[in-house]
Amino acid sequence: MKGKKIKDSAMENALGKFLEQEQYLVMGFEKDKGDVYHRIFKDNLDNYSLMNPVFATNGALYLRRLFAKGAQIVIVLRPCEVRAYIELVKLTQIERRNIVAVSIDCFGTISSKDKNGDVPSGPDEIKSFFGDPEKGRFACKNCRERRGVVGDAGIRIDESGNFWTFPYTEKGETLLSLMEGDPEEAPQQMLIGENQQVQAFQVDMETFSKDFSKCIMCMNCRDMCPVCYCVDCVFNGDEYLPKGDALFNKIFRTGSTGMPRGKELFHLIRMFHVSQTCVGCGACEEACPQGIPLTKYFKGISERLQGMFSYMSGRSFDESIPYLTFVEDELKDADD
Amino acid sequence: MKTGIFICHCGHNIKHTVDVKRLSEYFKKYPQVTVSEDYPFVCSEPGQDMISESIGKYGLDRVIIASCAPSLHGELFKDLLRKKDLNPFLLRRVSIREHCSWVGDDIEENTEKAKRLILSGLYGAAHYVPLEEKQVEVDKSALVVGGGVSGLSAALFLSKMGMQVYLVEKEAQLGGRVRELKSVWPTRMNGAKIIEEMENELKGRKNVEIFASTKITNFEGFFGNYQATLDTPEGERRITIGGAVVSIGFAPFDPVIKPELQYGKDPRVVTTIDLERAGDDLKLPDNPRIAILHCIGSRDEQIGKPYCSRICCINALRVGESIKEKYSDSYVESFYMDVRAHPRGGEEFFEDTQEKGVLFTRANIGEIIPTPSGLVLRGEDTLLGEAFEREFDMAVLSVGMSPPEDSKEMATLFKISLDKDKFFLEAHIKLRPFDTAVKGIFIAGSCSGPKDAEESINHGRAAALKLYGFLNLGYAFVDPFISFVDSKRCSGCRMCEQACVAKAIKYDEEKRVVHVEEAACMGCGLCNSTCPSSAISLRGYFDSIIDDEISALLEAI
Amino acid sequence: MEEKNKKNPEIVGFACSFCTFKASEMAGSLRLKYPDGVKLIQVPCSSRVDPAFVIKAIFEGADGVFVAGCHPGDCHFIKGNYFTRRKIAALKEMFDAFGMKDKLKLFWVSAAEARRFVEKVTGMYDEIKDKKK
Repeated sequence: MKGKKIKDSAMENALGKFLEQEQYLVMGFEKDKGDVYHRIFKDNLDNYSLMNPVFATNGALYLRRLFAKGAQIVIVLRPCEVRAYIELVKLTQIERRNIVAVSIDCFGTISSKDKNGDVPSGPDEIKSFFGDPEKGRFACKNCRERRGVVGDAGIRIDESGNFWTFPYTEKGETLLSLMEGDPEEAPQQMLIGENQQVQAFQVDMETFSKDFSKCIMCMNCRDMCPVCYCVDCVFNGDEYLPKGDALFNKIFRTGSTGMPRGKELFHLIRMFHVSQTCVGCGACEEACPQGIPLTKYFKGISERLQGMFSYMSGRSFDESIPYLTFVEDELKDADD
Repeated sequence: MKTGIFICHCGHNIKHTVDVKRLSEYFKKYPQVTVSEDYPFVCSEPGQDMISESIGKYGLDRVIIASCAPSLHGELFKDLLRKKDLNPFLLRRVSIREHCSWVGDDIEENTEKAKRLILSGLYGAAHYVPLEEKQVEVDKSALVVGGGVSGLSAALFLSKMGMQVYLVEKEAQLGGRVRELKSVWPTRMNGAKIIEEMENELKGRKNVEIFASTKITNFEGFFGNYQATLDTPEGERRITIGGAVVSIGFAPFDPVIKPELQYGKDPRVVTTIDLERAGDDLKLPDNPRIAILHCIGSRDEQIGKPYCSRICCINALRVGESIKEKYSDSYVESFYMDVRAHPRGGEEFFEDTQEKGVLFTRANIGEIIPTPSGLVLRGEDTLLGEAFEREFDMAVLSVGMSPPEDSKEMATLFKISLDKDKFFLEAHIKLRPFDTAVKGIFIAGSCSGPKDAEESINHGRAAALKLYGFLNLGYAFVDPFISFVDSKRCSGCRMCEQACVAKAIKYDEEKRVVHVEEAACMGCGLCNSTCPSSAISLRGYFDSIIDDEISALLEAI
Repeated sequence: MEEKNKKNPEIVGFACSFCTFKASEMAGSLRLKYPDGVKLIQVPCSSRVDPAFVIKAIFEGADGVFVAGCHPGDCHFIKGNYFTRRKIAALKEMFDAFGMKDKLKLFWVSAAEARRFVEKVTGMYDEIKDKKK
């Protein structure tokens, strides 16, 4: 594959050139006193950071319902964020027309909860920071796609630490043309390779109930999920919440005195709702005040369910979400 | 909320295995239930009066009738509500007969089940909203598909009743299979003559248009206003009709499927239809030995034709008779399973043929072996339990009826269900034998199962009468079970739009929400289950209705 | 009664109006017997069944849930059951991940198949009952 070998700063220069135009914006990360956050830049790229080793929220969340009124925006984000962006484009929650999405190789991230002291920002620093395999969130250690291969363009790092840029669409091509240098043949092997297949997720209801018993139904997981985009969630009403007399009847009928199972219902239904769009970023777990291992479940289930249709959320703009289409001659053994 | 619950005994049908008294008492304790009664037959005049009176007396706003399956007496009970100025969609039918009293024997268990079913109706109906019944004008015209005897008789009837009739036949000639018959049972009239009589009468009528060599390429719309696209020899033609009678007939069973019978390989093996066609040209040696095989393509599980085709015994008898008449010194042996000469005069005819010298042997024929001198039939005499081999000059296969080749295609076009044998399925075998699941589409003739000419003519006329009853009203109510969007809750993700089969959902670029094109919506509810926030709902089947029905069925409410 | 309910499975079935529900009516008319634990909810098309209903039914105490629609290709709404097939197959996969595979079944039963309907529901009932013991 052909790409441009660039200096660490070349990307920043190119984005700077892009910003010179009126109404043009860049979304990426900002270094701020030893911390790194999401930021939308206008006019200049002060304190810009290409990478961010801390995960607090999925950047695609900020893009939701972004229907840019004439503005052009380049987003340079982690692969899981770009994948969520792509899913949201398919769901008409973001207008693709005005956005150029660039994904960048990701070494993994630590939870914002575990952050302690200054955050490394340069690639070398980050790389050595993640030298310890125990570091990093569950979502990152089990990530399906850490390579910058999604979106309109990608930034990859080769084994000697050189940066490469690759266009994936025409838009990406146009953006990368702002960069100096000519395309050349890139090495086959990059620093971050394809992830090995993970085992099919399997759990039992008891473990599930135990894990989710801590849930307080604050619904932060839903609110911070990039692909949970509904303007009014079904769980905002009381349809799925148990009512008092229902509980009473159930106790008499089943003899059980268990407390309402509404929260389990909430998580399972939400799990199904996002099953084809979940990118496994773990934003839900970050948002959970109770420390429930949500990623394990949501990522595990969505990977199994997407696998049935050889689908991978956010892999491409053109793949239809599996529940919205069908093939006549498929799933022959679906019925019992 | 003021709910009235009316529990039917259905004579003994429900009462026998469900404690109806206990049920009606039980529901009285619910605060939302104003009246709870049981009655021997709620569908009877006094039963209806009781419901009517209760609606007026207590000002009921929900009516729950626990009785037979909802497909029965639907309009009758709806009318009760209409007459009392209550929206008919506030009626809930609960099936405690087909789904409860008839499927279980234990009175305790059945009563508990019936209780849950009614409870689910009670809680589900609580979320019902009055739905607007749109009245549409009904086009007083009918499409008759298929120009066989049943189609012709349906077309004639409808035309005489003053309806505009479009008769579509895929072949160049009208008349279907009956035209080929030399003598039609029981009158022994020539088939072609019967057809010509009907055809001439039809052609003389002003309100009939006949399309021969025509195929229907598209059929859409709703009752009262269907649109059909016809591919005629003169080019494409679009017609609007109120309803349709589909009478596409049958296909004779093709014995090639049974290679052991040598049909198509040896010219001495013929079918009853070949004989009809050959007529007088049939050349047989002197003293011919003829074998007649019954039930070819009928009552045969192995080839997926377990049913009796009803016409072939008479056909086989007629073949035997005609050969005996022509060649008095012939040897004719009929191999049968059972002789089912069911139509009028059939049994007497069976005896006549025996007297005329046709031999009848109850046998299973395993195979026909062709030899230069004749055909050897190898089989088992099922009365004697002995194997036999006999040589004949010719074997006549009395073939049964198979569904028409295009039954699947036509079923898809008109949304008619198929039964297990791939014939058209009626809405109810006894109560709605001509109806399909689609309003205004009726079936007639042997496309809904084997029938002889007499039955087909009657069937065609009956289906036409049913359709006429609908058309003549001049108006119809449209099912209000279509989707609608709560635009405040719509996220504009367009998932429903992508999934919608009817393409009834449209996206508004300005407002970034979707809306439903009501005329196109089919009411399947796919959009409702696709929308994660249920911002789009199917009227009559809201999430809240089904959710509470689930809870009530499990008594968790 | 309470004691009994604990032992006998509760099965909720979502039945398409145009096929399975009709088949169940016919099963009744033919006086075919099936366990009283099997109760149906009528839906216009199997594609109306929101997976949330299935999950809800399980959490409300159903021992099993089935979704039943027309055979693929025979949908009254032309293509509805193909969507059902995808969604319910995915939901079954999810149930499988949670080790409750046998709690959800998908049946194709045409309006003419009263016997098949009874066979299917009885089979499911017996299977669940055996496991419950």
